[in-house]
Amino acid sequence: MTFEEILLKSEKPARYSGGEYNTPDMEKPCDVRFCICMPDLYEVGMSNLGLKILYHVLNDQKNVVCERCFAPALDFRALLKENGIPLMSLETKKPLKEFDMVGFSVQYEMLFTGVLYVMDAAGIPFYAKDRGEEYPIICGGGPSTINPEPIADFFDLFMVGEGEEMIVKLTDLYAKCKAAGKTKTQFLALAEKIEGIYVPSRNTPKRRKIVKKAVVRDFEHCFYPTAQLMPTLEVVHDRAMLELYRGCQNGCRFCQAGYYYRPIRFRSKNTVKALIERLIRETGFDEISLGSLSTGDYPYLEELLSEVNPICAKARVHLALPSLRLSSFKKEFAESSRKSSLTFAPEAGTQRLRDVINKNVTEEEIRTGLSAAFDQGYNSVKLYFMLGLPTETDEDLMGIVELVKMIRRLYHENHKGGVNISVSCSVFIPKPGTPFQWERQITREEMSRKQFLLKDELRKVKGASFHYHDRETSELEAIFARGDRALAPLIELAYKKGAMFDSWTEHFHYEIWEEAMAELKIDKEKYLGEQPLDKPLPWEFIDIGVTRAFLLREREKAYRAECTLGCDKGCQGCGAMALALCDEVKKK
Amino acid sequence: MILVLKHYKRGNMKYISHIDLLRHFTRTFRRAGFEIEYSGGFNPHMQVNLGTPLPLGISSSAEYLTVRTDVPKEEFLEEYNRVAPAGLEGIRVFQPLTNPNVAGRTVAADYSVAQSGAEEKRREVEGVVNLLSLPMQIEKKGETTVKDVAPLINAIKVYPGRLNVSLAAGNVTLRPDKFVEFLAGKFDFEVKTTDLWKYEQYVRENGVLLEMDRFLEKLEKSNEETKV
Ligand code: SF4
Repeated sequence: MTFEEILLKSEKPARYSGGEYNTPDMEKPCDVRFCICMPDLYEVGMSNLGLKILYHVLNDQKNVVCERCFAPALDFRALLKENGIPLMSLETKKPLKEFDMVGFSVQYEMLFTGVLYVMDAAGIPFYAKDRGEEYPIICGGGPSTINPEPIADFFDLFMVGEGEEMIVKLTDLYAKCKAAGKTKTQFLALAEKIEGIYVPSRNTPKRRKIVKKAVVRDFEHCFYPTAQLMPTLEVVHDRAMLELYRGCQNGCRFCQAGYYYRPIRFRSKNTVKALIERLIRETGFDEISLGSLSTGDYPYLEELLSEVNPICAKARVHLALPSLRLSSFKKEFAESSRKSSLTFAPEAGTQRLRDVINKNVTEEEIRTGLSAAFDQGYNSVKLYFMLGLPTETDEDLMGIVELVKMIRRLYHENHKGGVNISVSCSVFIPKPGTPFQWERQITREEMSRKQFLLKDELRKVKGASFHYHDRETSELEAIFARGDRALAPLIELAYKKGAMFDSWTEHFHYEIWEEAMAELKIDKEKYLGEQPLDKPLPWEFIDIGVTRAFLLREREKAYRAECTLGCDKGCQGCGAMALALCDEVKKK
Repeated sequence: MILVLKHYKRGNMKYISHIDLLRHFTRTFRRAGFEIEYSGGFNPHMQVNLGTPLPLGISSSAEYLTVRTDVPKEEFLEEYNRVAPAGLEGIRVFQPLTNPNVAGRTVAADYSVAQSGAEEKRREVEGVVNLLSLPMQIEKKGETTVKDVAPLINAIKVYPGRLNVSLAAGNVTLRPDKFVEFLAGKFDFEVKTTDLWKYEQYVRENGVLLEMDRFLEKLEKSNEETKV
């Protein structure tokens, strides 16, 4: 069968056809051919802002052509295999093997097997040491590089931190090395000198060098593509995404992103406005999402909305404001949002536990915010919590139930009819780069006990519904999150036994993982239990800016249930400023 | 006023489903800066009426969509093509005086597919059009049924390297890809359905087939309700 015939036999040919509007020039002469690869389906990969930024940044270079590749769905993978066709890029249908560089964007730990799945389909050996000069340089990037150790052996290098400037330095260096006829080893030795680049073969647990996370110092003027690729079929986040700022001032102690994306850098109101106008003209999306870790904390939000709301209304573009804090819930914001259900995340049921995790939201704020929302006509609330947080007791779980009852009462004070309160509980995962990185994860038995306790109690509350995360997935995520290099063989073995697309529950089989762990004699307790304070953790060679001393101080404060103020009240001395000045600090 | 855009669906765009196609048009119109009429109601959406759905994988040079807008006809085509995705290029714009209801009125379409080996069997292949009954197996969602497709065939012509068929399309449709594969199987020749084009579609007027372009041209001049 020809490729075209295979396409037509697949479930959704448009996933693999390419040809999106705003595709850059693929024919231009170039020195470096780069392929960005997302080990997930087209619909998920094309929803990722980071991928679009890097794709366009590279194609904007005179000497680089960058293409894309996503994980083939199982049906298409089988068709490729049957016909002996290796996985190819979307744009020019070039086998992955023939690129100079292939960059995997690894968004979270559950995609680790996806990386192998893609390499397998492309006919690329898994381990860096088994790949000679004839293979592309395999690079890794994305949020999971805060601890790349579990997959370190599969990669030639990692880009740690923000990619848009680092990746250009990297392709420039590659072009120079290629022209000078340098070997892969020689290239890697030079690449290591670029800020943010980690070369696992030259930087091993025995001989550690510190890798400093790359950050964009001038966020206001940094590259952002407005003429972005338009997906050919409906994708998960089918809208334009624009960051208002990077970093987060709140310092929730469980939140990896909150620390990892520091320092705090805002885009000015005028820049955001200009970008929105260009997005409307150049993409035609009917929705623009103003994303950031906590959108309501953007200091110019109100002014911005008053200026751009009329522009968007005229073009009939909807502005979405995700991640609004309840305390920043205001009438104007509610109106520019068309959601019928209000979502917010108290994360813990009692004030004590919220103080432990430094989630600075009080019951009073919840009351005021929700009253305002109910008056706006909302009658559906979604609440997110975490189970298994450090110091948690059953009292804290009962606090969740009390909170739900309080919300119900609040609604009925002034409103008729029923209110839907949906409670969603994930499991706390101790994440690298947070004050809780040394904590233990609760066992699956504990998870199950807590989940059922809540389920029984919430069943008694009218209008309430309860959802909880899968215990096995949470456990595996925790193992990977704090993993070390001993896990690469586990990922390989599990993949060979059939573990793939672990992020999709219907494909997740924990038995495979347990079997593989048993075969390799891997003790999961090493990763799930409390970590020693006196030894460096496997990922601590990565300098994310936030210092160990700060994390330890936050940990102590957590045990005392003491809050740390947000950076808007003054710099708390986390250390991220050493990478680039925080805008909060510049103001003062 | 009403505008009808005749456009291609070809290249990579032939893999786009009918639903996804709509999204491409609303985005293209927004890029062009067109003000298109919206529906009323709780969740207003841009009103773009697509023609009859084309099965995935088939190219076309005769697709029609209808919108209400105040953008002048000539400007519409030019501006649309400036920002249209490759494969959905505009060919021509009509300005009918009444709503042509393209999807509802379409009754037939012409297709052309690459073939080899049909020339030698030209007589038999073309003769199919005269059969009073032609049972064909049709697979739908895993189920196989047998259907008499004879009434759904308007014409069959064999040309060097090509096979052209004219089939029912619209409310009653015979899928061209399935039908040419059926013919190829029956008379033992080859068709290449990856090279299958739709190039014309028809309405029925006074009992005879009328090309969509002619029909729209007539509606541009007179708003007299044409007899169906
Ligand atoms: S350096 Fe100061 S202002 Fe910047 S993120 Fe850290 S605590 Fe906040």
